[in-house]
Amino acid sequence: MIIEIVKIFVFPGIAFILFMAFFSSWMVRKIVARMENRVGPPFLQPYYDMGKLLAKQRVYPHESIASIMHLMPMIQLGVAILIALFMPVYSPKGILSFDGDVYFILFLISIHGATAYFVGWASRNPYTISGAGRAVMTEISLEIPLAVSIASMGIMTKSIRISEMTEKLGISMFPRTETGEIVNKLTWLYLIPWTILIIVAIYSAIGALELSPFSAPHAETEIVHGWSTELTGADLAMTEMADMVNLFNLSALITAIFLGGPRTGLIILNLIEPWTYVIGFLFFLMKFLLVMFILSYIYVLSGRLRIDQIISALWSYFLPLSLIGMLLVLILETIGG
Amino acid sequence: MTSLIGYLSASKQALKNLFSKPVTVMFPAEHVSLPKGYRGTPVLIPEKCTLCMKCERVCPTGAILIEKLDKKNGYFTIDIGKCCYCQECEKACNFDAIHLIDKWLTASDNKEDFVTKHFVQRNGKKKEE
Amino acid sequence: MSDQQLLEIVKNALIKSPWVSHLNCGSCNGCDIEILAVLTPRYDVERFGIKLKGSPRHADVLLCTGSVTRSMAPRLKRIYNQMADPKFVVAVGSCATNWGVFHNCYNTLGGIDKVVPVAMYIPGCPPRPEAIVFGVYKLLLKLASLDLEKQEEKDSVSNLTQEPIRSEEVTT
Repeated sequence: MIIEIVKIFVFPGIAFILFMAFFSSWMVRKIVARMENRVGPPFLQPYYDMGKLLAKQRVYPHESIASIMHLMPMIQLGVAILIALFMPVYSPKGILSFDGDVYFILFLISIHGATAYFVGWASRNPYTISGAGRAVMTEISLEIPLAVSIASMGIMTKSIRISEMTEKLGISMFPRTETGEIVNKLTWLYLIPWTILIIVAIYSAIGALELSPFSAPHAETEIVHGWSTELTGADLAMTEMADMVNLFNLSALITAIFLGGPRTGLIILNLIEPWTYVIGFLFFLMKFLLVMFILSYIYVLSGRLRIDQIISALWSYFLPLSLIGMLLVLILETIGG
Repeated sequence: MTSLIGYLSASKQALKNLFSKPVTVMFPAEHVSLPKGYRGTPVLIPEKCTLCMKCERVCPTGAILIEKLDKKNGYFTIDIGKCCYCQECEKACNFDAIHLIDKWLTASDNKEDFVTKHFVQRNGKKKEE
Repeated sequence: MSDQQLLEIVKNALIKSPWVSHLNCGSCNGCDIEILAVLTPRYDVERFGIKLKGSPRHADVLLCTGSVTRSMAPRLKRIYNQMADPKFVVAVGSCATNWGVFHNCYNTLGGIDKVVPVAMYIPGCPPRPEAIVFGVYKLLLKLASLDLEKQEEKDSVSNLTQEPIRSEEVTT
């Protein structure tokens, strides 16, 4: 009982999630700063930002709907933390885990777009409304490539449960006999659809996080600050924190589904019970940092696309790419399986 | 295709920056070297001033104000809150009494700090030179 | 934890992360370009936690340039009212401080402080980027030495415990 409570509230639960969220936010800002040849913010910067924002005064504009503007950011943070509870951190199984949880997570990610629309609509401001429309359009466009790429990995591993997908990834891509030899001769061909699918997933994750090149929903100074223009004080702190937690979520999701999460991969280690968890956690951290690095690398190198360019890029390049990946997986499964 | 090449060269630059020392000047600890002839705060040397009013006449922003008490004495006021650092006063002065020095960290929360008031007594000798 | 300790923590957080918003009230654009130069890698201000925000609702510090033109004055007042407490205004450049090169112009009011209370003046035409960084740095030092109990001015950290307000429509 006590162990369960510690798991939910401390590690790998809420306290750990918030720490990782703040850490990953700092990490992205620092990597971006270093790539732009600057020094970057200090380590505790996200904590200072949140402390300041939580204490600031809240202002609701004339004729806006204050209750929605107050409630939606809280829902965003709650949903983000709920997604984070599914993420495998030290063992292939997260705190919450059931059959089909991948699709439950996709549903929760799309709630973020809906709440963004409600915030923009409740603020009664032309900038927030146009930002909200863009947020929903981006959300709808990226949902399908992300869903297709995750479904392809589900076909590869024959599961729609994160823990099983994580566990079976190495076995289904590189099946072995008991002596350790790789059985299937098609095994290296799986890397082709895998590469296509991970590219699609990473770009979709960037779209969900509203980073460059898909940062049109925020679009600083073009439409002031997008859908969150009129948020102040604690409400803004909640959305910012939800963004940070989502940064952790999507990186951890890609780590779990495409890179095998806390699994050691091709390295076979025979360890006793607590040490498998420690090694698993270290492997998770390494893969997580790699994904974060790729995210911030794309973020720093790209400019902001217009909203019509975002829509056409996601529908006419990334969706076909994900479908090609799915087709390749199906062909390989039919030939090899 | 050209955009892809641009993307690759940008990524090369980004990776190079990642592993090199940042160009940032750690400002309060170290300073940037100023260019030669930098126009900073105007400073008066009261001993050389003859209260000829030339600088007040050329000043485009009214930052220099001379109040004469009588023929030989007067108050000379410079307000750097108004000054546009154009160096016209230094060019106009025949006695090298006003200079633009390289002092530029002048921010303050009180406008009174920007005003410097000098009491100037005209020296007979200087006028003859 | 007492209220005093909590306020102390909040004050430290505020000093470590001042978000700025930038407003041109009829400047010649010289100061605006210097403000942008502050954000470049050479004078990187993100190491102080300073972040340029598009929306004045998110900002703590409003960087104003230019002697206020008659048509900009009500807008400046309105944008100042839109910001959430605690808020501070920094006047950048000689025009914003004390009229500058627009000296005696009939269509300008002559300084930000004619319209809204100003916390820090940065003279210069335009000020060097270091001078702007120094101005914001000095503002933070001033904040650090604020006595929260005794402070009764409008621009203070003690307004933090205030109830959320609903801003009224500003009539111009």
